[in-house]
Amino acid sequence: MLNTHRGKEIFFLVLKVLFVCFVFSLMYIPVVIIIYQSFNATANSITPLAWGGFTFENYAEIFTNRQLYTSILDSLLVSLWTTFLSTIFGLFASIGIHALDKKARRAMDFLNDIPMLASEIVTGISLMIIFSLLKPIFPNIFGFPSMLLAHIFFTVPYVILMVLPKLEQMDESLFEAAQDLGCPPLKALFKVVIPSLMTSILMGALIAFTLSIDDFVISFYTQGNGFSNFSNYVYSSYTKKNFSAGAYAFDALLTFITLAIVLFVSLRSSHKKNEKGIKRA
Amino acid sequence: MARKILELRGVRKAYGQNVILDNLNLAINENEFVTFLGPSGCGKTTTLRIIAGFEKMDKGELLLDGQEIESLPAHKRPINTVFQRYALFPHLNVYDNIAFGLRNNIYSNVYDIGTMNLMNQYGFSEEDIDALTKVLSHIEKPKDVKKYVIEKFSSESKTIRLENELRNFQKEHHPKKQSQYLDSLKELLKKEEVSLPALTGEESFKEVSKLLLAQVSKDDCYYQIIAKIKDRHFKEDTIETEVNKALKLVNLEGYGEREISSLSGGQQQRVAIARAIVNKPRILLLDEPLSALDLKLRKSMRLELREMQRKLGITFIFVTHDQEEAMVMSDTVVVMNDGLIQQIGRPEDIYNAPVNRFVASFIGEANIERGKYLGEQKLQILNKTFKVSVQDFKPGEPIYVIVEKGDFDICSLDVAKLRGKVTEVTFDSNKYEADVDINGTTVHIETDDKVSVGEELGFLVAPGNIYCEARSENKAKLLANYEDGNILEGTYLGNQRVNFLGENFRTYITTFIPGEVVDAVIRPEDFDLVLDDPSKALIQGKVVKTAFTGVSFDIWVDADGQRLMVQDYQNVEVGDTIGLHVDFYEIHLMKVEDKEQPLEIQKIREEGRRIASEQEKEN
Amino acid sequence: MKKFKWFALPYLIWLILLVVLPFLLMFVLTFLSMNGMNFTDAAFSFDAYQRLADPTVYKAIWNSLVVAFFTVVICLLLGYPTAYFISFSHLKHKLLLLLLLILPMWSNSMLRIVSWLRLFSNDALSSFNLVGSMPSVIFVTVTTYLPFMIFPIYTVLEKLDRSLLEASRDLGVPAVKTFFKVTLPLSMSGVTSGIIMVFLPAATGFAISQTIGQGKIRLIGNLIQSVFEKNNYNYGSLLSILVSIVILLLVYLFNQASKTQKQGWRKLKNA
Repeated sequence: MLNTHRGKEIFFLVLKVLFVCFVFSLMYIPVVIIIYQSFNATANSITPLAWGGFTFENYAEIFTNRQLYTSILDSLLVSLWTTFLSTIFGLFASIGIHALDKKARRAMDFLNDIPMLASEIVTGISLMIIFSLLKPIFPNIFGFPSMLLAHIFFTVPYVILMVLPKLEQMDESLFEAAQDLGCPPLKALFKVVIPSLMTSILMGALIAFTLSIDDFVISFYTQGNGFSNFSNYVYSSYTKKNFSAGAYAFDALLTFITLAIVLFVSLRSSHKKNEKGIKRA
Repeated sequence: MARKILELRGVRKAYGQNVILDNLNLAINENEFVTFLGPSGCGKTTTLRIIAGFEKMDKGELLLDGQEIESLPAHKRPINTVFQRYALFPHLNVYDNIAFGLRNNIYSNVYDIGTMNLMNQYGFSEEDIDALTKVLSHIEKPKDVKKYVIEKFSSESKTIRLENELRNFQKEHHPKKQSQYLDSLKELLKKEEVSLPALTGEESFKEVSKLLLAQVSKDDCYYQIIAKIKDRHFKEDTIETEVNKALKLVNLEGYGEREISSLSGGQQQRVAIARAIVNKPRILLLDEPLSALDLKLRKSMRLELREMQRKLGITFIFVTHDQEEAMVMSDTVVVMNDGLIQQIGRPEDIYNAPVNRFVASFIGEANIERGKYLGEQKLQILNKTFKVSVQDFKPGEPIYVIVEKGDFDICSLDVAKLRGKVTEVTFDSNKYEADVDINGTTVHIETDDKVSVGEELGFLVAPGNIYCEARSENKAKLLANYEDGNILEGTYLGNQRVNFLGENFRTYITTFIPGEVVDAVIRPEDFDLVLDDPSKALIQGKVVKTAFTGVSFDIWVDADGQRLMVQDYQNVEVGDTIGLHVDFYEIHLMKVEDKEQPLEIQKIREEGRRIASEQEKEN
Repeated sequence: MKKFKWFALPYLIWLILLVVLPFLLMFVLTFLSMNGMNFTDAAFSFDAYQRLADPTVYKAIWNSLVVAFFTVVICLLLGYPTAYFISFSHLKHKLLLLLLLILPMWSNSMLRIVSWLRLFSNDALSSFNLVGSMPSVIFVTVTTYLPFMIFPIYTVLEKLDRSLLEASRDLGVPAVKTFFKVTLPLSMSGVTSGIIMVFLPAATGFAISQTIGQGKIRLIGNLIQSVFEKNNYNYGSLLSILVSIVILLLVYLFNQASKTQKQGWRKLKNA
């Protein structure tokens, strides 16, 4: 009786592990292909995925293919600025929204939801229309400025989504205590309120960066004047058949770096936990 | 004499239609432990938040040391708060939490404190330190405080004077060789009473001056203090000493590096207190700080807080809904309900002599019986007649008025009710005692401020400090009852007004008119059981229920259909008939509203009020 | 902190300029016939509205809904158990597993799509004619947006008070029934946001259908994109507004439905 029960348990466990592995593989197959292609000498051959021998040339291409590396640099430029600006913008907007009274608050919440709910393509098009309207005044608006504004536009709501609930949870008396101890309101905000929101602010920044660097559709409509991003480079060069295998190499490199960071952080945190355990013991 | 530190005048606060505070008047004395006591929603926390500056009042005045502070935002008030849930900053450790105010306050008094500490260290007299702190307290910015202290001490420092003179000397003489300038230098040094160090004859003038300055500065405490204040670590060093002092005071030495989240509730509470008092506020506000602690901790914290207040000499304003807490800790209790102050007084006065049903029932268990005052200290309750002790003055009756010598508050002549000339002064351990001639009567007063013979002074007397006694009392006995009281002859005018020294005053004395409907309070522990012969006692009753409370027994007695609660150390059986006895001075009478009174009493009261308001107008 | 109300003002202006204004502008554009954003030769016309009669529009909307529906369903079927298994596993490195789940998202999504295309057109698989077919479009959409389903569900499951489940078991409710009566209802908020987060991009994207579908599977996104490519701003605007309305309506109806369902659960509990 006990044995059959155990057997059943093990059977289900195996099933569970297999299922999770299957789901993981669905997401990892393209990543594996990208890494495979990054070392494949014939990554761009007409016969797809044919192994043409091991090479590092694709990695060298990151630095030699002008179109590729400008798109990478453009991507990084836009995303880093977006992360910085939309985190600050989102933080202060959250503080403002938090201070609103109920009615104004509801209207604001509704407006803030729209960029998240509107489909990317509609967002991209409406921004393109606004920017084309501004073109007679600012002839160079398409390119870096338009893409930056667009990215800030669609990332700020996510920053707010991260920061606002935390702000709501925060004890208002923290702010009062800072004033009680002699800080003027604005100083109290910087000395107490913002530091205690730091984790959510960093989470918001991370989300903003992730969304921004991976964006395709909105950047598609707001690129211009030779300024584009990595996603759009992949899309356009692939359709135009002048795709560089350096793209695989760059992406694989990014994956390796993030993997290294992830492993480092998780190893260090578990190490720390152990240390703490020892101390307590 | 206690000095007023904080005053609220006619404070009104409402949220829309909901009136929280209505015409609140309150004065709080320096160095007192004051408790606002009341049920939730009575306006006590709102009052506290108005004092702290988190809430604006709709109408009224808020005075700190006689200065209007309502216009000051919270961060500019020398008042600190201990919050209900502590509000410790989670991103800072214990040390940084406590140092927060000294570091970040734009008017941080870290230099004031640092200077005081140094002066103490170098053995300056109390008076010198006090004098300088008084000046410094008027300088707002820490930077200016530093500048002022350096300037002030520079002018006193011998080293700096010598340095300047040597510099001038150099400009005048362009000294090269010692033989050329030594004589004139010696002359200069004689004037300054400095002896020349031993020289080999080879030193340059610069080296000689250096030796001289080093020699002088060794004994020059002013110079050493300046050097310390100028040091760039001075601010952080001062903060460190102060934070450590505060940690020691709250018994948390060595906890500085701990994270807030690793502390227990009681420890967090102590950190919150340390964080507030390290700033040396004039007033410390505590918003139900014990409510989050468990019973045992709460009880020990009460005593600790009380002790801390005594040690620090800061006024504490404590808000609570727990009457036991208020009774144990406070010098003064302010009982509030529905946005109104019901009663202010010492805990024992509030317990023994509540002014109305609310106070009587909110502060402890009480039997409240509706009855009638028959006159001549006779009360009818429970269908029986009792003797009671009440002030039974008729309007116009001559009485003795007693004011203790410390209760004459000196004020400016234009607002004074009484004016008098000082005829004699003695100084006795920080206090001046004076005889003052007021309208031909000599009154004995006591004050902290310096007064001199021949000076004209103005006085006010607070209603709570005017005691009335019947003329029939023995004067000598009265003197024994009141501490250094002035026994003055006066007249009771009716409606809480008395006349003495030629002026009319308000008192808190309550008189009753024969036939007036009153409420009588008898505390359960004031009943005495009569068990051997119940019929001899004034009240007989049947025991309905008893309960043991750990120390004594609660006994519920049915007397003539009225339910009484009695507390005694001996138990009785349910169903027994027992007798109850009450001493006449244990029955306390309370005023009952006009509309409950018979018509003729209403008329008499009306008349009394009319006369009183007319008299007030005359003044 | 009521003092900081005015911090919301710049954001309000920003939202009005970039949300409200474009919609009004697009609405105006639907009535103007012109080439690109050139207002000089603009003329009033109902041209765009007449073109709505074209059945390709409805075909595209239908295709989008089909792709989005199947994507959501498959994502839910794959995502919920995954989130559940990870959340309820006794693994030491749960966080690491979660980070591994995020890792593919750091790979460029466009490049991942291209990789799938390479794989599908590989000699070994080419005989299945995967490229250009509806199932493969749905499949790639699923793999792209699956994390958006797993995360919200995982977050809610992690926050779920385990003692509730123990209580249910303690009351003698079997494990499977506990799941349907306690775990699932309590994790519904995660499911709801997961569904919305997958549905929106799946229904309106055009990159996957363009690459994997090879132009044979035309979704509404492809239609709008091609219309704008031809500088036909008035028809494009009309389609955009139409899509927005359909999406908002669906989201609204979905929220409403999940709300009433919640109430239903509450009623059931009370009964």
